[in-house]
Parts: sequence; C-alpha cells; structure tokens
Amino acid sequence: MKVVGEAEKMLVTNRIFLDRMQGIGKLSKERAIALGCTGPVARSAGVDFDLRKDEPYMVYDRFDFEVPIGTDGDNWDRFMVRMEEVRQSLRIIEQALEQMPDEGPVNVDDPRIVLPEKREVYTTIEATIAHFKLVMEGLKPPKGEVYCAIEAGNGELGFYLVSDGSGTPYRVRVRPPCWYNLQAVREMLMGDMIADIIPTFGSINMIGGECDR
Amino acid sequence: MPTFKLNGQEIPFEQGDTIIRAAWKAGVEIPHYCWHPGLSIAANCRMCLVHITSGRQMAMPILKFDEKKQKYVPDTKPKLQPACQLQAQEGMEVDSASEVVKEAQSHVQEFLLLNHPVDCPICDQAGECKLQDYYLEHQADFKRKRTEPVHKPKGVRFGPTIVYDAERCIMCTRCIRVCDELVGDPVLDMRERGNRNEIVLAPGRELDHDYTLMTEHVCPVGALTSRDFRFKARVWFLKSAPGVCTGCATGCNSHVDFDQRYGKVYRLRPRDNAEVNQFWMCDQGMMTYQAVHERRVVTPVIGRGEDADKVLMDDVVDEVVTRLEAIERGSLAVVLSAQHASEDNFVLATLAKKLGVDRFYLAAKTDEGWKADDILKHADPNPNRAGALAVAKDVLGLGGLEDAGQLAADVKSGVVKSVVALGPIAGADVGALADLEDVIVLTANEGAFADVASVLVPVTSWAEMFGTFRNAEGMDQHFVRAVPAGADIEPAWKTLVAIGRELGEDLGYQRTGEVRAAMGPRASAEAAAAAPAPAE
Repeated sequence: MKVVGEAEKMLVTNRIFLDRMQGIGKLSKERAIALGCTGPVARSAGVDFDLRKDEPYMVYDRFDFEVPIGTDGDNWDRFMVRMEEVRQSLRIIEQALEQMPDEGPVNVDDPRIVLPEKREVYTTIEATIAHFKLVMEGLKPPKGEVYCAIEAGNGELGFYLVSDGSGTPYRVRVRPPCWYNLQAVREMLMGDMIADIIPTFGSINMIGGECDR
Repeated sequence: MPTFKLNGQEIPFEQGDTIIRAAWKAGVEIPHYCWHPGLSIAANCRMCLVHITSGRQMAMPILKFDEKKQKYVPDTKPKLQPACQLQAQEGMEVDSASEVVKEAQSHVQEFLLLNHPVDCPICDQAGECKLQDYYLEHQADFKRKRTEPVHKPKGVRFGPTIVYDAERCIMCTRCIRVCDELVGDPVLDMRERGNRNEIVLAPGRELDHDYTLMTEHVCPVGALTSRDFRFKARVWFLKSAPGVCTGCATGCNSHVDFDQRYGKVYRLRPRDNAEVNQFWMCDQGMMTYQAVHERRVVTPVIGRGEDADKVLMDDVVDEVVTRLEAIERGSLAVVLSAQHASEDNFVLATLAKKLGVDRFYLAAKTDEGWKADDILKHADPNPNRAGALAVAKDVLGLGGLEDAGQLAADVKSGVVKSVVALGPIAGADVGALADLEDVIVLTANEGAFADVASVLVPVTSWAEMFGTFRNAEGMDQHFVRAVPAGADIEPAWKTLVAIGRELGEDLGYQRTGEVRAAMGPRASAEAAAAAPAPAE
C-alpha cells in the first residue's frame, strides 16, 4: 500500500504526465457501451458495471469492496480507476486470507470431475482408472450450452461452451475484454497528437493474445 | 411390433428377445460385461440388473445400517433382475436408472475392482476397457476393502496368439463361450470359485484353433491380450476406417485400426455385419493387415537382376508407355487379379480392350495351407475373384478366365510374348515369364509376378485406397482408405489411367466415384454365383 501511494504521488505531481493524461484519449459513456467495452475502460467513462458486484460469482458476495467509477473516460480517469482498483484488490485479498480455512481439502469430492491424488493413483485401481479417463478422454459435461464470465483485470472474460456430452467441446468461444477495449482506441485517439498514442495505448493495457482471432 | 418401456422410452422387440437385446437393437445400452449379442446368455456378471416396475413386485429382505441406532436393522429392497436373461414382454416397464439399480451397478463394479491390479499403465486394453468405461459412469467411488488384493497368475501363455492375465479377469466366461459355441472346440474352462476363480486350458491343449483372436476380441477387460498387438500401440491414439478382409472370399467386414501420426496400421477388428460375418473374423484374416507394411514394393524398378534400375514414378510410367507402344498387341497377355479391387481390374480390362488386347488371364491365390471351414473361412482365399470375373464378363464379354498356370504354358509355347499383370500373387509357377522382354507388373507387395517383372510399378495396397471387393455371395463391399501411401504411389487404376492418357486412350477417371459410376450397377450376381472355387 505504501509503494502504491509513493508511485501515485510521483506521477500525479509530474507536469509532463498530467499533460499526457488529462483530457487525452476521451471516450464517452454511450460509445463505451456501444463498443462493448468493459472493465476499467468502461468504468472510467462512467459505466457502473462490475461482474463481481452485478453478478457475484464464487465468494465475491462475501467481500466488502468499492467499485471506482470515472466521469470523463480520458487517460487520467483510466489511470485513477486502476490505481483505486489496486487498493480495493488489496482489501479483497486481506478479507480472503482471513476467511480461508487453515486446513482440509479444497477440491470438489467427485472423481468424475477432479483428478485423484497422485498417491492414490499409484496404489489403487479406482484412482488409476479415474486418472486415465480424465486425462485421456477429458471431463465430460452433460449435453447443452453454457456461458460463464468473470471480471478479469481488463474487463469481462467470458467462455461460451457447447457440449455434445463427450470429453472434447463441440464449440468454444472466448469473449476476451481486450478485443472490445482495443477497438475503442481508434475513437479515443481521433483529434489527438501522434505522441498521445503511447500513453493512451498504455492505459488500455492490451493483451495481444486476446486480440488474435 | 410389441414394445416395452425402458426408463419411459418405448423399445420395440421381437418375440423371444431379452430386454438387453431389444435395447441393444434400439441403440440403448444397458451396462453389461458377460452378455454378447453373438453368444449364449451366462448372466454371471450381474452388471445388467434392472428393476421391473410393472407387475407383481418382489422384495428382498436385507440388513440396512441405521445411522441413528448405529446398528444394522432388518429392511427390504426391490428384487432386481438381469436384463440379459429376462425376456421382454408387451407393456413391461423396466427401470435401469433408478437409485436402487444405480446402487447395485456401483456395488457390482466395486466387487469387480476388488482384487484388480493397478495395471492400466501397462495394459493394452486401457482405453477400450469396460472396467474403465463403467467406473466413472457407474461407480465413481473408492472400494471399502483395505487389505492386500488376491494374487493370481499373470502373463500365462495360452497359445501362439494369446496371453492370459488372471488378475485382470472378471470371469465373464465370454472367451469360454466363443470356444464352445463359435468354434466348437471347448479348449478353455474355468476352475476354482470366488476370488480364486481363473480361466484354464484343457489339459494337454493349447489355445490354437482358427479363432483364438476372437477370445481376445470379446474380452471386455485386459485379461486376454493378443501377442501380436501387445505393447505396440495405445488404443486412444488409433483411428479406425471400415475395411474388408482380404483373407478369403467371405469378405468379413473389419475395422482397420491405424495411427495417423505414423500412417501405420496396427490391427484389424471385426466389424459387425449380420449378412456376412456376424461379429467375428478368423485369425488368418485378422493378420492380413501385415501385408500393408510387410514385403511392400515402394520403388519403381526397370530391368531385372544386375541391370535393374531404381527410378522415379514418372519415369516408370514413361517406360511403360514406351514399351506398350512398341509391343505387338496380339501376343500381349493381360492378367487381372482376384486380390485387387474391382476398380483396379475394371480400369485394366477397359484400357486393355481399347488397346486391342484379347488375351486375358486371372491371377488368384492358391494357398495349400488354407483350410475352409463352416464358420467363416471360404474355400477360395481371394477376396475378389467374383469381382474380377464380373469385370471380365461386363467389360470383356468373357465367361471365364484362364489361370496363371495356363499363362506360363502359353509363354512357353510362344503364343504370349509380353505380359501386363496386376497384383503380386500368381497362384502358379510363372518362372517362364522371366525370359520375356516385357513383363510389366503393377503391385503393392513382393511376390511371384514381382520376381519376374522387367518393369515394376508400385501401387497402393487395399488399406491405402478406396475400393470394392465382391465376395463369394456376390455382395459388393466398399472399403475406405485408412493410411496414406508412400510418395507418388497411386492406386493401380489411377496409374493405369495415367498410362492410358499417354497412349492416347484417355479414360478420364480422376476419382473412385467416377470409376464406380463407369462400372455401372454391379448386378451381375450370376457371375459371382458361377465363380468356381478352386479344387480342394
């Protein structure tokens, strides 16, 4: 927390940094929604959307934390939202550490889904079979389709899956946050200077693998 | 057709069908080990127990553990019945998925795995093992027994083809029933009882009849393994293509199991066909896959002995064309093959007819060691004699063809001065051909014709092409390419089309389908019926 504060102090008192951030790379709330932006990019533009709050999954409903929202959607707001998220994440980690049980198994107790313990695999036929089936044929979800998304560092990371009942999916589609966030960069940069590309692009935090399709 | 209900689904059945057989015909599986559609009912594995919910209910007294009282108390549960033995009746309601049935399946599975060794990593059955398949589906729990498993003999040699592992055996007796009922040679039996149970050979005997690999094929677990396939490949890496056995004129349907990473065929498995081979194949037939990789001709050769030159595929086609242009057609003999697909024979006959050839022979295998039986093995050890004869009739208008022995005689008498032959096998002594200038042989394997060839043209084997065999019953059976052929090697018909094009007789076929269309409806069943079997 101390390091975060020091880093922030160093940047927000820097004239060059402020010039490159404030009012640069603007994105309106309406355009952010229209382009499918999520995560800090959308929230900095004023879109109040965080899957951890709006559709809590796993144990997020047990944690007390705030979702920072910006107003202008410029580089400065994206920076400030991300800085605040660092602090909120630390809060979550502290609460999670407190609530985590000190011992005991953490996995689901169903050999059809979870790999057996290695010690058992070497000594019992049941675990050996379960290991073979899971590794060679894979987990077999029932027939049907499902979409599941989590709030990743850059926004909504979702997986759409169609199962035909076998160990390999019939169809998989990944909905990565950066694929949508990146397409907003064009509108952010319009009317700004060439040199503004660097901080604006940096504020998006694009992950290349998500855009490779 | 009368019907009964299985888990609410209407299943039609014929009078006399058991529940499991009717369900199997309808494509619904009731888990089972000992039942096999081609064998008698043993009802000993108890995996197929189902609950008959219609009619008078039978209850079984049991002792049930009461959590509150912390002791066993008397209780009852529905009496389950084996679906493999119970005959289906009109309006019967069968439940194979209720909690009671699931519990029974889970307990049977627990029993079967009670003394099972931890062998999956070294077991050839792993990947197609019913114990594995059913474990996650029907047990998915650990056994309660904590003591050392019972140990029994491992790696017992049952005969030249089969090895037995008693520890893996679940005593379903399928192998015993194959020997008793299919082969009629009761060489296997069971001894002892309970967990000392094991399969044994009759004293002084070996498992050495002609269908030993069928015992391995029906074995639902890894107790019986084929010595040929042992430790060669993991079955989950194998892919499968539908094939037709080349061993004899029965034309048993097979699965050709191959590894696409290496382009290698590892084994054959019988493919169910009620019209031809039911569920079975003979040992010799199961081994015919070896010809795909052994004694193969892969390099084109021009010349014989010391003058032999290994050349490229294009060069050998040019050489064949040059020679065929010079050859006097009247003394040219063309040899069809009962070992090759109808497509190959058809294109060869069609091209030869266009070139003005009128001397045709049929090379067919005559194997002294081959013995026919009443089960599957046909007296004629050629997969496509009927198909080749049908080609001779349809294309050439010939009622029959002389064999290779007559060819050799005609060569000696000087009537035949050059030969174009298909296939490796001559079926007779063709040494006389070695004196001829032009003996053009298209073949996949080494053999009598390849030995006397002056121009050797490699072609694909049956596993590397799409084709058709006509069996002794007159059925045309298609087979499908499993593995890729070597570089530049094409099916014989394709090579012949290329040769024909250079000779100015373009047949224009590019795909198997075009050849089949040109062959027309293969309805000359009387040609098949008239196919003479070789003398015993």
